[in-house]
Amino acid sequence: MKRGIISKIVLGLIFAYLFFPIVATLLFSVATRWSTTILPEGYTLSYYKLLFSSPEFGHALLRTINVSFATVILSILIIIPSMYLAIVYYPRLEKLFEILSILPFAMPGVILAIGLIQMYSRGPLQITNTPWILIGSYFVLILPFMYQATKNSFRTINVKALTEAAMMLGCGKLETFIKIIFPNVLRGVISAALISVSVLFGEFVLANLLVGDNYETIQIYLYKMQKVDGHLANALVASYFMVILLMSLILIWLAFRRETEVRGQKTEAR
Amino acid sequence: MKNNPVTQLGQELRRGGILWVPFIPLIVFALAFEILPMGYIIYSSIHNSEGLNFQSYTQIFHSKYYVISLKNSLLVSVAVGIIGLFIGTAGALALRSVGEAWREKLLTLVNMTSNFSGVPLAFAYIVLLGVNGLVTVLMKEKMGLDLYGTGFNLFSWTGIVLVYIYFSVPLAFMLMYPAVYALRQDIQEAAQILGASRFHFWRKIGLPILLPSMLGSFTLLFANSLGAYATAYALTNSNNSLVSITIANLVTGDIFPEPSLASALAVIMAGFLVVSIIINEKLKKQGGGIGQ
Repeated sequence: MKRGIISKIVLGLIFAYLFFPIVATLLFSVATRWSTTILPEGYTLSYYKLLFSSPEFGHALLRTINVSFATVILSILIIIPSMYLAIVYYPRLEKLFEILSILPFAMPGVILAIGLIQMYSRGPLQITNTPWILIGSYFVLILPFMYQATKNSFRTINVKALTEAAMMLGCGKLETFIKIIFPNVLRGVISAALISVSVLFGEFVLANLLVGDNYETIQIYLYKMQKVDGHLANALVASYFMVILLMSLILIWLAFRRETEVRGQKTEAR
Repeated sequence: MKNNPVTQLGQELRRGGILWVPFIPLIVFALAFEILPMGYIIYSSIHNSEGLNFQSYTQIFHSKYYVISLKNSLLVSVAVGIIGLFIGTAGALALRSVGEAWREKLLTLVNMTSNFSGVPLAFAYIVLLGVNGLVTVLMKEKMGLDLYGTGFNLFSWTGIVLVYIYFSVPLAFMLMYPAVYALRQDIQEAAQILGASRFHFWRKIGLPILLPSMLGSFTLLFANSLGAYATAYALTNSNNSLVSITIANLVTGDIFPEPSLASALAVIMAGFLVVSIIINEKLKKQGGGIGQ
């Protein structure tokens, strides 16, 4: 009994520690004046109004959305078919994904940027300071997340058996993939996409070192804003966090639905 | 030699016909933005205007500035790794006291906070603990405690360590949870029935079971802190010499005078990361017995 209470106190403290900065950021973003009181003295949405009516914010947000969505779509188009083929036809090539997903851990953004700047600042492919280099480097950045999240959904459906069944019933290879396999792993693909987008929305290192002012993303905008207008920057941080929260909720919902479905199938099988 | 991986892959490829075509873009991207840059950094680190040599490396190890930035980074990462691991493990252990339904929800919450890092996190801490931060001012007004008078400074090492710990805790929590979960209550009960005290249980059973995972989690936390850049950059305006900041400083601006030096520093940093990854992979293989 005593142990349970200590555990709960420890948990409470850790959660308070983790959520204190988040709650404070959210409160501060709607506070009129807040200096010497425990809670804000008044509330306002004016900082959000100001932020969302700022054209620079709009442009930065649009750039981030463009580059993240382009990367994620490209990544889905390239990774999902090749992963499917690796599982069904080339099991040896699955190792390739594992190696490619471990490499980024040895090469965090700063290191990767050093190589990319040297390779792409001169020569035939001068793409530093353009969004193209971001799409390329973001592709390898999200590869581990794409791989992990979709691998699980490929595992839960029996890909090989499904493929064989579809082919026996007269489906072509392409048809099998598009009509049978893809819809079955769609939920995993959506999870992978959401995780990747939230990673890319928070990406600063590569954006700052590879393109900087030439393609100001939302994180670079935030970095600059932070020095100019604290309240506006805070409204931005708060909105950023709400977007992350929303994506997490969708992810939970997706995971929850999958779980109940799997459970349902199991009970039916019994 | 018929069963070596290369021949097997060859067989698979022949059997698959032209199905390897979709792999081409994947391989092209991986080469262009991951593998070739890695090779290029290594090449550039041993190549300068005078040809192939190790000058950049000797220059780094003879320069106080670079050695200190390496040392700082290693110290910060080790300290943050240990503290983060301690708090995260405590949290994961404490989570066992909560019912199953709540456990999943709390874990997702922890997972969510792990997204809070980099520039936004640094900014949130500035709002709270900066010179005119909410907590700083409140403490002064309500408790008469002048934080900055006591030597605390968010824009120094204290701040960096504090903020790094913040983003390490959720990670440690989630990394340790599976291992802690494997240490089920019934094992503890069985030990108690056989006469083990709480202390005995932890010394002989609990800790040995958790240790490989703790070490593995530590290597990941260490690597994560070592590679971090945005948080420290936003917090200290690149004044404090951490190796990631030093490397970035060498390449920012329009001129890039010493690519070889930046590359060599990057290779040294990658060396530490590779070692920690290898340790973790080794542990993963050995620790296969834990849990499932």
